[in-house]
Amino acid sequence: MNLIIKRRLNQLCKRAEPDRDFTVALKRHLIKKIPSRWHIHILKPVAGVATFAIIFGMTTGVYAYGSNSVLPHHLLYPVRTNIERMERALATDDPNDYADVALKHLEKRVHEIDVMDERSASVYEEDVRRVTTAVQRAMHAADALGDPRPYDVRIRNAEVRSASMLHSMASEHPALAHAISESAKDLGRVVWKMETKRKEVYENVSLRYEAELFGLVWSIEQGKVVVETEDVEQIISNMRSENVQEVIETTGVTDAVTVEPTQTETPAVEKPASAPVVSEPVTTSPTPEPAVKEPAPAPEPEPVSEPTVIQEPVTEQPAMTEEEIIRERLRRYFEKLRLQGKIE
Amino acid sequence: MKRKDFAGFYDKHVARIYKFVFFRVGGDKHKAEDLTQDIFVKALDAFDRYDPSVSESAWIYTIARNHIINTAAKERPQVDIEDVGHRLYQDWEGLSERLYDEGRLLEAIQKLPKDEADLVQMKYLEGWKYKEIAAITNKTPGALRVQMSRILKKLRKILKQK
Repeated sequence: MNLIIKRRLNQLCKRAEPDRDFTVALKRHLIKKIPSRWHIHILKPVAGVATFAIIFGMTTGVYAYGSNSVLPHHLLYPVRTNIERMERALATDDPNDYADVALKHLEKRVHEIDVMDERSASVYEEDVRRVTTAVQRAMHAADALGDPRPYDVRIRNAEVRSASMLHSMASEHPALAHAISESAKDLGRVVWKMETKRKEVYENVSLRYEAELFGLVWSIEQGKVVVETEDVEQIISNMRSENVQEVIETTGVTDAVTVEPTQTETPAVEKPASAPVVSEPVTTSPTPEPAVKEPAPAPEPEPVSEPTVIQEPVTEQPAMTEEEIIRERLRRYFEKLRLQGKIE
Repeated sequence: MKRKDFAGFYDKHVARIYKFVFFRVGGDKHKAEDLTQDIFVKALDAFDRYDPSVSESAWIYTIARNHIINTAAKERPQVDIEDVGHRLYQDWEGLSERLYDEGRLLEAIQKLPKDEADLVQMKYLEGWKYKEIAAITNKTPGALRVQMSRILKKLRKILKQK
């Protein structure tokens, strides 16, 4: 009986159903009142795809950059090189940062060659060139610094390691022998140029230190330290003995020039007292001048009836004090530098 | 507010609210349509303030009931279900015995206590689910099922008397 009642109630319910036209029209009327956000429907999937691409790209980039599995000729190796290119571009403002980045990349290239050698992976000419380029880049970056010495050791170590590995691989890859040889030559030329330039830099640094130590006014012209020559003699003359001694001890001038006082027996013939041995002051003229003026030779002794004994002319010189010896050493030291073209 | 959200809400409740209104306005189709439109316009205006902790059915039912009460207070007293039964019966006057039985059923419902008559109306005439009715009446669905079983027995008894 309940079922019959329920059925009849349901039938009543169906009779009270709204007209479909009415519900559709009312819905359309109500929806029109709501402002449309069509751009969200377009941008939302685009944003979703973009977000996914960014996350995927970042994850891939981190893996490509740091993984030992990503070696040259790996699918993701170009991702690594692009990231490294970006690192270098970001570091161009600061020479120190750029040198750090270049050195890091060089060590990475060496590590890659090491791993490839361990795994007996195929090595090609471009891999050799890649290492050479990294070495050159690191050298140039260090060279741009005021004091590249902290980087030189690491660069040298990396270059030696890579050269050693590449040479050992050349035996397994005969086709690479020529490429390795050419790379070694290129590197050799670059290293020679760098070291020559570094040597000049180091010498200039040393000369500048000494010039400042002597209180000389110096400048750099055409890559060389230039001092005012008129000041040299004046300063040496004005130096007190203890200051001179300190300079000697600091600069080691005694090792550069040895000056020994000469004492000779003079004959009965008087001869004019010779002037103390002095050297000409260092001048700025480009032509070198004699360092020391020889004293005037003593006149020859008259011959005697006695069997002729030819004696060497002797010059009687007053004994030089220690201070004078030291001053003479300084003068000869600067003259030596001038003759070497290190100062003018 | 998203169009999609309100469209889904509308599709879910429009038939039920129409029936709710229909049986309370004496079966007047045109009036039911007008009031249903008013109710959903009010719902649209308040949709952004809708509290998800309240069930959607209870929320729209409250809007509909309040609107009908306010409208009836302005025009005339709320039409009883008996009038609906008469209207339905009169509309299909001369039809088969089935329709006559349905008229008698509506009259029998009218003889029930109001809360029981409302329950029968909401469940069978308006199409509410026990869960939705429970949210409005603060009773459990189980209790409502038990009550409905008793109501149907009563209706049977009433129908047998006539």
